Amino acid sequence: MMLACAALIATSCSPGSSTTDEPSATTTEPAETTEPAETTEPAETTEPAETTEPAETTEPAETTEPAETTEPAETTEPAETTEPEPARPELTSETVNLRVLMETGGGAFDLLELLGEEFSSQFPNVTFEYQKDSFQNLLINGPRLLASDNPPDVLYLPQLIDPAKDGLLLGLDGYFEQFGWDAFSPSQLAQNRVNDQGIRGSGVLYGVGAGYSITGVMYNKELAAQIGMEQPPATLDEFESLMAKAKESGILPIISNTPATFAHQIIYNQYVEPKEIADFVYLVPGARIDTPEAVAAAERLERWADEGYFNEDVNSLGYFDLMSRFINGEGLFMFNGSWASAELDAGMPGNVGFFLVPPLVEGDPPVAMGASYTIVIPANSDYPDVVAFFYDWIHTNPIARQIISDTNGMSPGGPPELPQPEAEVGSLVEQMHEQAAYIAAEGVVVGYLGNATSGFFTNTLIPEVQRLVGGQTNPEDFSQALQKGYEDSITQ
Amino acid sequence: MRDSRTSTGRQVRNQYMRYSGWLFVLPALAMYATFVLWPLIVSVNYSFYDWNGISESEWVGFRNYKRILTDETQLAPIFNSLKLIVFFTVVPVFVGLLSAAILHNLRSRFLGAYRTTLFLPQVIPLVASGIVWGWIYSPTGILNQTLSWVGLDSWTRPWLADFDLAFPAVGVVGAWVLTGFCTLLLSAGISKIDPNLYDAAKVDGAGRFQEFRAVTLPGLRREIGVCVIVTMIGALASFDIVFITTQGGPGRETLVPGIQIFRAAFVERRVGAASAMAVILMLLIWILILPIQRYFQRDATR
Repeated sequence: MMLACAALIATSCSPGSSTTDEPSATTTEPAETTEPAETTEPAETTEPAETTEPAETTEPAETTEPAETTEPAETTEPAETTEPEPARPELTSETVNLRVLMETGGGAFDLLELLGEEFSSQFPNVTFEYQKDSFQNLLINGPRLLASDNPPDVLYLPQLIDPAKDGLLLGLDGYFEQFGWDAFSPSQLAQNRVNDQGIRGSGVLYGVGAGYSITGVMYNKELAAQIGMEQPPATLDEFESLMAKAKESGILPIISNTPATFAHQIIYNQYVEPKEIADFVYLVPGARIDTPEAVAAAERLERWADEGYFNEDVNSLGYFDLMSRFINGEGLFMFNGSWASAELDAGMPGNVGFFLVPPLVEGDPPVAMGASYTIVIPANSDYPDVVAFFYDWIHTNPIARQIISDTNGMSPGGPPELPQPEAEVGSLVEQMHEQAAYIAAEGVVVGYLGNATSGFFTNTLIPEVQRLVGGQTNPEDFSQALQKGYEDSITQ
Repeated sequence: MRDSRTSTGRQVRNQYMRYSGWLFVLPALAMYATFVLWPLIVSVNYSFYDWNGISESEWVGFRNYKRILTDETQLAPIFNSLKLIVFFTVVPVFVGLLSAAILHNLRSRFLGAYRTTLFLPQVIPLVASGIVWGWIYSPTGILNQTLSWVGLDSWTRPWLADFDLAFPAVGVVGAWVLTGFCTLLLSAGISKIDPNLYDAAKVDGAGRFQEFRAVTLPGLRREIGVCVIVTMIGALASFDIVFITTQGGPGRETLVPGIQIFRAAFVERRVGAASAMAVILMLLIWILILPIQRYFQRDATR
């Protein structure tokens, strides 16, 4: 379930220069540069539903400076700004209690709580109250809570488009200006933008990430040594021959949970142009997933299943069992993401490696799925300015950045020139940070196919991937079914 | 004077009596109207709209219905729920009859314990049953362990991930739950049958089977009717067991309308489509149950 979660969570890119023609964040900005520096008001002009916004009235004097504030790192000012630099907004000195809605599950899922505690210790006038619910319930109840009179202030929201269209989310472009988020990697933020046609990738900014993840292949170093794997494979074919070698040696090549949607997409990513994937995930009209390349990718997945490279119970294994079985040495490879790295480091220290899925042709830039752990501000929040300050702090404060890395191995994003969090030498977390930096520089990060629409994910992608891996369909029918399900889920 | 006074008194009392009946019905009626009739009317209304539950809705006429009735993948779950009737109704009623008849003839100190054991699944929340059966069916679960232990290693499999066996596996859970219910109801029914009938049958030289056919079965018609109707509705409107064990998978092998409605309403946020599906399911249940109910009622009054 949690890989599915992760696939759903995913709404934004990992750090990096995605070459997927995402419009540069700055070009999508409304001309707000004339904004007086000290106003903490969000850009009202970009707001679809400014009538629902009570926030400004409840936040009077914002100019009083709290004496005890330890100022977060101020290195975020973009160097190239020629105009007089706007002063960064200050945190209110009033006593504020923020209500946080977050996922249950402990471990990596406690991230927002850990960040909240640290924030309170730095800014004692801001306290947090945590309400936790399962991912499934968050998905179901999130929009309804947003629409209520008394929504949470800080909230993780996996699906942006509908709430954005319904005016339930606060547009963050005003804060983008005030806090200088143009210094962040534009592609990190682009996936959290939604335009007025409900297409992601451009338009109004509605969310930022409490950490940015990348995905790839975790491997068991001991088992890898047994089959003589000395370095990560350079091509997809080489990767596949390693699986064959493992199978011959009586080692399970891939352990995967259900649905094996990651297994499908890591192959698909190597077959098509990243722009096609981005268009598909962003719901750009005319996007397709039944191209000949898509069929060829599905054929490879089918072959992996036919050859018995997956665990027998690939269609029923849950995420928690997947993790414990991989940690216990079952399976050479596992497709997973940054969020799993801290747990794997603890469970099998020194014995787990990571590589990005290799391309079809040696030397081509790597392509991987990535996501932000998207946090938003409800349009009805009482303290949008405080929350925005908190979100900026998450990206820029060294301690906050370290918490993100330590908790779930994700990259904290923010301005690229900030020092990366520390990680233990040889740990998986360290490898994840290296690979995140590498793909940011050399490769492309794409969103999850399952994030296109929740209907496509639940009604089409999950069952069809299960059917393909279970030998119940063929690559052509599979691809056509995905295309049909995708179109059905968009046309209401 | 006195006469007229008494007559008005009687009138008042009659009127009072007439309305007092309503007074007793009112609490139940109010509950029924609030929690059954009103949601029903609202659902029918929603089914003609395209609505995500939050923003403005759009009148779309019968489009939601047309989409469901012309789409194979949307209709398949309905057929699945019809297939579930075998496990939810046929098996429990037959097994229930059998065990009720046996329990009736049984003279054992452990009768109570038997009954309790059979009824136990009905007492456990369905969600808990689903979780436990999920363990039983898991690759390392007790079912596969047992099979390995008796030397049937080739039979072991992840049952709920098997495209051919996931459906019967889920069906067995339903049969397990509902057999206890049928047994209890039918046992109670048997104990109501006049013992003289059994004595008469014995005098006539009837064997166990003839006794069952001539006395027990006719005497239980009404109870059997209740069993069939309740379990059939359980099959057609099933949700919990399937949701907990397979969520409709693998593929769409165990998808039932209940899960489809839930997903349309809460995952996809298509309240109109979900309502249309719910209305179709309601009509289907109605069409199937009504003749059955008529049949058993007619027999009972004869």
